Amino acid sequence: MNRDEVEILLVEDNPDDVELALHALKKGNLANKIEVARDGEEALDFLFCRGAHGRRSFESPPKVVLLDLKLPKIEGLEVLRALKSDPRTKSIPIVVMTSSKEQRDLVEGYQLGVNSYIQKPVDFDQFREIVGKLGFYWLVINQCPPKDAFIPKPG
Amino acid sequence: MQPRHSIRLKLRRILLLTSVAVLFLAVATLVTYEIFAFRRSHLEVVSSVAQVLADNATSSLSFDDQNDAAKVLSTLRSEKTVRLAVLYDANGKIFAYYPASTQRSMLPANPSPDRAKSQDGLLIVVKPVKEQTRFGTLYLESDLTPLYARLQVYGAIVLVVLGCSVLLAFLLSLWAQKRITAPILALAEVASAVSERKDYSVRAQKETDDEIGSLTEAFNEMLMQISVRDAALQQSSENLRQAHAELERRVESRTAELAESNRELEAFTYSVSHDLRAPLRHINAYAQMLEEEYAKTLNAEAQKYLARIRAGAKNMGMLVDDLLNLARIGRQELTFQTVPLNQLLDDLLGDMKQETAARTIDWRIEDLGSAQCDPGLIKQVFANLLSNAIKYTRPRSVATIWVGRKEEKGQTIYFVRDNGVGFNVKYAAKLFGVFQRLHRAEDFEGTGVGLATVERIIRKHGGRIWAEAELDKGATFYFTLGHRKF
Repeated sequence: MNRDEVEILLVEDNPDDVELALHALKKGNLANKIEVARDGEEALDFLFCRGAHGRRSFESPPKVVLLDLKLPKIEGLEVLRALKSDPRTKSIPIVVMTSSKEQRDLVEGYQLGVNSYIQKPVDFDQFREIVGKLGFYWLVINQCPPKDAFIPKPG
Repeated sequence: MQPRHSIRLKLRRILLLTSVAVLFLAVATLVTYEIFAFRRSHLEVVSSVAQVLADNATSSLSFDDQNDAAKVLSTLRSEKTVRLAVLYDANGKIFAYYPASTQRSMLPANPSPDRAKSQDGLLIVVKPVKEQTRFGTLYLESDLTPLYARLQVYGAIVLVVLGCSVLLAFLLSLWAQKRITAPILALAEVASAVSERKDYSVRAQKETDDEIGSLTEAFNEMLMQISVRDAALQQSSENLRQAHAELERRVESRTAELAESNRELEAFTYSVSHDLRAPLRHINAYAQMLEEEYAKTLNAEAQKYLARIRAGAKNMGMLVDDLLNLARIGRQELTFQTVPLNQLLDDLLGDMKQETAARTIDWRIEDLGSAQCDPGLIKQVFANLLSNAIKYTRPRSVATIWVGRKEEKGQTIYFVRDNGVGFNVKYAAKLFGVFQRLHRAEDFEGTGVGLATVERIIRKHGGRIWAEAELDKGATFYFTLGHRKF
């Protein structure tokens, strides 16, 4: 495995939230291979290996994408829709992490094929615990999809 | 069309009957008078013939000459109506008679008294034969044959006149029909046109100046009034229709406005849900990080302030959640189901284990049966009321919480009662207002939104909620679920 390979893509526009998430991941020793995208467009550029990330390959996606819903330029649910409707990206595990408790976001998120949906708790202890468990689960416990999963079958 | 014939027929019948009846009366009167007059004149004629005979027979009787007497009587041959003539002598014995062929036995034996009258369809004249002294009596009998002949002629004339007058009456009735029934029929035609076509603008033609003319006028007047009313009616129904359409339009635009403001509210609560919670999380997180990582450089007071900051942020987080919940209930559609309430309470008490773990609570839960309600929302109601009961009995070593129901005026009233700290009833009105609290935050925590939420849910169910309490004795919350049918 390439040591520079990105394991977590954090899509978050709020710098405070970025810092708190990084802080929490750092506590769990999971903060080494994190890429941060500050809006939906940047996230899609990264995952579709285009623009500034043109040299990336579809064959080495992050192990998990932590996706906020309220994002500049392209909304979180739109990012989710774009990823889950493309055969090259639809196998990437996506975890929505949001402040929103709105029922319709939950419903739509799951309908679009989100792999997990987490509401950020107000309490920082709980937040840390959740982020720690989350990172541990997706990076360590969960079996990643094989490379074949990201190559669209001809026809 | 049948009625037209009937009025014609009636008119014709009346005319004919009238003319025949009048004619009959006239003829009857005439005939009666004629019979009477004829009899009288005939009697006079016969009487004068008898007088002449009596005078002529005087000498025959005085000379006792029967042949002469027979000759005198035979002059009656010219008088066709005389059937019988008898001459009696002074002693009343038959002296001579006419016609000679008559049987003697058929002759009246005694002619007296003297008279001139009609009797049994005959005229009988009895006259004395006298000069200075009475020589005898003349009896004369005449029939009424001329009268009958005359009456026959009369009858024929009457028949002809009757026929002519009936014909005349018939012709008159045809003419009268035209004059009388035609305008009535025209009127009837207009009336049926009005009733068939609902056309109140037609008018009947006034042709005569009589009663039918005034009937036509009255009819036209009536039509005019009807058409005026009809126009007014149509106008007002048109107005009504317009008002209705206007109302419909307004309702539509209001509904659209309402939907718009609902959408705005939804967008607002969405952003509150997302944007208000984020800075709270940040405040909380940084305060905690400060607390944890810089504890050594902070003195006790600074640490206390940090704890306060965190408690405040946490409290505000709960407030935001509660308010969002309250707003959500306001716009949520109820889904009614038959809910077994005791099962719902069992679930709830299971969820509350953490809250009640360290407490001694004597639960007294009656059989509540089933209710028609929205299960999720009614669960919130019981969750709030039970959680309040648990909270406000905290000072009690043994808390007792009753959940039950009672029937009153055909309505089921549910209640949750506790033996907690209660409250002063004079503040009862404030209980269900948003952010209204009857206890200090340091005594009993809370956001002041819970009972407002409960009240809103009950109201949406068409029920009502109220409370009774006594300070330091406990509180009881009652509620009903209304009478919604679906």
